[in-house]
Amino acid sequence: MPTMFRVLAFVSPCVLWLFLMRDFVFGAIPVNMDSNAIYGDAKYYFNNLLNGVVPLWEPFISLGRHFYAIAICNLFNPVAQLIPLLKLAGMNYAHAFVVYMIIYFLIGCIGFYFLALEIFKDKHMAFLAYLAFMFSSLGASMFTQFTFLEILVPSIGFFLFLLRFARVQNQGNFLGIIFSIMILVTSYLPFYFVTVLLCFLVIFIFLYSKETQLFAINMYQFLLKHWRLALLGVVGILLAAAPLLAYKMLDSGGDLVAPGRHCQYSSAQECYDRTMGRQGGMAYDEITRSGTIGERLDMQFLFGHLDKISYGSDSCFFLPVLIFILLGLSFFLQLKRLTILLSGMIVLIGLIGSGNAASLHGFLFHHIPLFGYFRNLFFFGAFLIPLVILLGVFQLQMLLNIKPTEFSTKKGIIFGVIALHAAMFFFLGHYKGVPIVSYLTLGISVAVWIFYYLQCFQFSSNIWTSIFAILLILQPAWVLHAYTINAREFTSDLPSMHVKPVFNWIRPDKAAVSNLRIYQFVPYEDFWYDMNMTDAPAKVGFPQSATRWTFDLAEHVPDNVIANYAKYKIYLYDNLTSAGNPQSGPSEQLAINYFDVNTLRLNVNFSKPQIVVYNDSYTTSWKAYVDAASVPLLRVNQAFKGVQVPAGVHVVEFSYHPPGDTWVYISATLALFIFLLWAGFMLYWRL
Amino acid sequence: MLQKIFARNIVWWFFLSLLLTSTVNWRLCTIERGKYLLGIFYNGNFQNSSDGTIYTDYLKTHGITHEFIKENI
Repeated sequence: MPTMFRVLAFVSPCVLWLFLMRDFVFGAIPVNMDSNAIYGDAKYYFNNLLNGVVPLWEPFISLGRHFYAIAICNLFNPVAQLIPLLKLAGMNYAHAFVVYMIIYFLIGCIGFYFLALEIFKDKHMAFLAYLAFMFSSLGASMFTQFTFLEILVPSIGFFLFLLRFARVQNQGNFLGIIFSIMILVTSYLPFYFVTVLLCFLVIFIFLYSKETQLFAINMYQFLLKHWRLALLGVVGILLAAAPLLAYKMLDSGGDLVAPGRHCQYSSAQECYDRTMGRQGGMAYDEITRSGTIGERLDMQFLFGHLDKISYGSDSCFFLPVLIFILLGLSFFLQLKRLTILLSGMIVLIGLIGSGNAASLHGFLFHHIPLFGYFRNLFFFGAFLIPLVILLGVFQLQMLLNIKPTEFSTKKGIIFGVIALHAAMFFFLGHYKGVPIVSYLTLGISVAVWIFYYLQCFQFSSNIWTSIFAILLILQPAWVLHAYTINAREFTSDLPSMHVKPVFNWIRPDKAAVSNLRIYQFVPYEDFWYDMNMTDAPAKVGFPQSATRWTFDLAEHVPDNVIANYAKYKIYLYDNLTSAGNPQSGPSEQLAINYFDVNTLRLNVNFSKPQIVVYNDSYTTSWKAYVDAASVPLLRVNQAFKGVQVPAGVHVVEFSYHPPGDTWVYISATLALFIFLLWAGFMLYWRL
Repeated sequence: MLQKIFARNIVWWFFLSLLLTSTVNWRLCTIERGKYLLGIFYNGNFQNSSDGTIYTDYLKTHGITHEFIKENI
């Protein structure tokens, strides 16, 4: 096939996909749900980075809290660095974020093509797998749940290079594995990937014991021969994992209310007891109470009402109907090891993702500590989609390999094809609201298979692939079109302009939240304040990620009392037993010298010794300085920071230095860049 | 002959279906999904007019009763 035609074959589905999703692509419809949260965090991170500061603290919300999202939002990924580059090139943050998401998705599609190629050893099948991946719900759901792609794309990379390494033990494939692991530990919690890997290993070792032995021997010999490379790989993984480890260290210090771990679904009292008691892990009930696959995925919505998928929820799961038709047609095919491996993984992952609706997750939770540290089990759905696609395409490959010569055999097969399609027709009819286009696909499918087995046309494999490609795209293209139309009711603008944070002396009394329609679904206003870098009113709200002492204060003091007091960010005290003087703006004795999200520096000129209280949450990682000399930081009024300052002219500074400081984030970003270039070089030269 | 029959996908699909139907508490899944849909679409702040219909329909056809919906709104 000429190169030009091949490029066109890969590019044209991308163009169609971009056209169908144009309202998202051009930013008319804002990212929603968790993607909105991730955008908020990415905007906050890169906006501050372009201001010359690695943001470690969020002073605008919850009376100040640690910027915990820095470690789990894929911010150090080389592809994510497109966001600041595009910003510098003149694009706003919201558009740059969408470009980054789409490029990441397309990288996932291409990675999936190569993975399918490695499995099927057939370019046509790999191309169809690529199309099915692109036109599955993964492309649509990234605008509400980008976490799916964050955990899935590097996992595809890992399995791709693992398979390549099993075939050819060279340094490029080894570095590909290492780089994929590095991305996995910076993307989100790597536990989902670890679970999928465990499922894979359990079934693979059972089915392919000889191949496993051979792989182990080859790997052992490779590691012996290239031990320096292996050592550097470990260093790379540790550098990439450093941000997550730094957060774990901070969490262990008991300074904050960890997301999920303490207060996700527990009662206020239970949440309080846990936070103050510094208890770790989650209860089984909390993990499985919400966010399981059973909660988000239902057979009915895989087939019916596909034109009604709402942009207001993140439970968008669908696959091209042709994949289900192929699975239906495969009933009488010979059972292969690959079918057992893929379907076994689907069932195993599905059972784990079902939480307490199946006993497997409970068993694992009680026997393997790993399962006590992550919830949102529906994220496993991101792995089910590509596995079902691979299973479906494998059945297609086997169906296409049947070449009957005898007329009686042809008759038998065609009868089987018609009967199985009829069964699929009744199966679809069982569900309400199945779109006409699904029946149309079914109808064309039966005709195509009859022609294929009758062998009336001597089409080349390219033509057959094109026919199946159209069949594959037909229904999901219509679904994506309907999805975009449904989402248009959310049309609005997210804060996307570059901001230089300014220190305001007074917090607002009332919430200045936008009237964005997306926030009427999920209370994610915190991210709106961070996107704008403006102060939220003085309240804690949902305690997730609030500091330990602010949370404690909010539990014991009425909201209005806190709001009245903490509305002023700076107080001056003669001593802590006297009443403080709120400062509503700069004066002769107090002025702002410097402010960024991690630091506040004040110029003071006191006639007598004063205690300067900064009503921003206290943690043990904050430090205080007077004239650049370290001084003890006081925890004042239960939750806030204070420092004793002598009379005279001085410079007072509060600055935040959590474990690892800014270095862990810079080194993780650099390590990822270096390993990307290194792996790319080795792979290009096949070394 | 038996080996030929067992070497077909249909037996494997049947085995997996049996495993899924016997180990998954589908009723619990439906209840969880019902709660989730109610939380998203009927939380008092917003009524999704286009989707509300099909999800209410879903809840009814899956035995999540009117009383259940009432209690959870």
